[in-house]
Amino acid sequence: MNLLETKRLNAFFPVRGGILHKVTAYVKAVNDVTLKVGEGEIVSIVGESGCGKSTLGLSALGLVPVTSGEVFLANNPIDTRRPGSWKPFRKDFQIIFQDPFTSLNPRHTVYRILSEPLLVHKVFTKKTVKDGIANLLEQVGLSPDYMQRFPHAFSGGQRQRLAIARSIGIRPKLIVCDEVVSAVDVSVQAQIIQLLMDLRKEMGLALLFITHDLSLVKAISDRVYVMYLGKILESEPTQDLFKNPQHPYTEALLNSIPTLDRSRRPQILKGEVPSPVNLPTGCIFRGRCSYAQERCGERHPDLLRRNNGLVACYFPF
Amino acid sequence: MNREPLLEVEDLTVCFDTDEGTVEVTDKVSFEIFPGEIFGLVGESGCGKTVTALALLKLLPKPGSRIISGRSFFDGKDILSLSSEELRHVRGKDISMIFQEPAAALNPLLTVRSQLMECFEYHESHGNKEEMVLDLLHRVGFPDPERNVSSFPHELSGGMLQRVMIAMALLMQPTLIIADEPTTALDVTVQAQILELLVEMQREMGTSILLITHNLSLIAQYANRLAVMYAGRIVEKSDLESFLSNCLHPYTHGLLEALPDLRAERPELHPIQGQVPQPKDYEEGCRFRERCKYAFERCIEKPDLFVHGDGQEVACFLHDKEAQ
Repeated sequence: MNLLETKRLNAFFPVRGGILHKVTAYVKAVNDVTLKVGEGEIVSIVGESGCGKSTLGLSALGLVPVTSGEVFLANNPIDTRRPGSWKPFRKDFQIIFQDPFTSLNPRHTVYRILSEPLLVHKVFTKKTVKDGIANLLEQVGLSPDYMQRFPHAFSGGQRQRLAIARSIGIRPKLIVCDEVVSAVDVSVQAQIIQLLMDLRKEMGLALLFITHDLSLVKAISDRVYVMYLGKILESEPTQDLFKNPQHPYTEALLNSIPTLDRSRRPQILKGEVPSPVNLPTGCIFRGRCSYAQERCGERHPDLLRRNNGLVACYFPF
Repeated sequence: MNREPLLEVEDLTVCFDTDEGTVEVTDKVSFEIFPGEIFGLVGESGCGKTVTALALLKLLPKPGSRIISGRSFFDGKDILSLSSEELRHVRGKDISMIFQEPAAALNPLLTVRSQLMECFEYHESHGNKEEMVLDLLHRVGFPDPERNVSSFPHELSGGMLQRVMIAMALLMQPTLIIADEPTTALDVTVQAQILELLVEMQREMGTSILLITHNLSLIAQYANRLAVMYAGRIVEKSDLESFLSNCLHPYTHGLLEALPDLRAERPELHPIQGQVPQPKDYEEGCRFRERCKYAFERCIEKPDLFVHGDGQEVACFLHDKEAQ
């Protein structure tokens, strides 16, 4: 069963300008994205900043307005024009945000932060919720004594644990993890990932893991979507993607990661991500691609099945 | 090594005044940088690496912080004893700095041109100033410098802003550049561009670079020598070859293990247990003790940097030859 599915999803943001404040253009943050996450699966979305990966996660959960396209949660179609239509599914679909310094209310105690979802979804009653919170804290490796503390008393890694505790308390089926480790230190990053992996084993969670860090993707995910300027350029099982990337952009991303191996210098992808307001004509990656040919200027290539994955390129490897 | 160091930092200790009293954020930090080399300073956030960089240029915020002890010799002068007037001739001219967040380091109200030209108001130079600026912008990768100099910072991307910062740092052809997390705010693809550029410029001009980062892979790719900091102290100092083949401190081991290895089919992550201590909780003994799987009784004492083999130094009793 597909837990989360989007079909030709678009999320556009209007750009206004001029004296009359008219809509002059659209930022195409998510542009025609079809994506699936199965039960218990870990799917990653990678891409550079501004490629729309966060917006994709947010719009799939109805947290930013969807312009057009379809969303299915546990095979149920969602009426994307009505924000309320996501509500019955909130319990099964949770999200953990990037920055644990802004995602926890600084004026609420840990008790209040963790009890809110448990009470709203009636997992516990007011009388029993305290035990539930103690369990949750232990589950994420924090002491139950911390219940009356405020977020400022915790380090970045500990806060991210709190955010995880908040989202797993109601036993969701899928969690969208939006850059969950980019704000914590290297030594703690591995702790957080490990925790998510353990919880996944325990609870059979599916994760939609949004990140810019390809090395983490390799360590945790089953399948990867590579996103660029709002579009999916390639989708593959993780092993295949790292062994034989099919899209030039994926290859370039892989080659630009610095490693400890000095004989393998990072290779340079020239240029920068163009503005998502005026998308390039033809293939959107054409301007930075070292393999670009005349045909690439015609129109953006369709995402087609090839080998074990999907790739949007006229001349895939 | 018989060369004379370009910068020699000795026993630098910096204190911050906080609500909970005075805390020492760095503890006797010493290192030296030789001409033409890239020296990496690695550590996690809060370990004192940025404070060290700011302190050795006397850029720490005042009031609120003090340099308790230490010297920073540059070119035979102790920078820390210079007056602000004398410092002005060193900063930007002999030593320049590239900050972490280019968008925050540049003035949003001034064009690229006026921010670059500002250097000439304080430092003498020969030749056509406008031409020098344009030439440098071209070299750091601006496709159309004549047009780009008139841009305001908000019109440029993060990568382009960092290029402006690099151009600004290079303008006076300094002998030392301090690059404090120059690529943290940037994407991997742009990160590679920026660092290659920095290294290319360094080779061309023979500049030394103090590269401050939390990313060990970057150090492995670009530095000649490095020091690892943990909780305000330098715990390991080494040249790159010996470091990569045989790093000594358990913390450094842990850091390397915590990085996913891309060569592996399915990389495993090995976290370091526990948390980095807060400066107010810093202890006299080894500060990594709580998280270290090799810790033994002696670790409650303060470990000094022991010399190990040639060129490697480590602050860990496991490597104290005399005791063993």
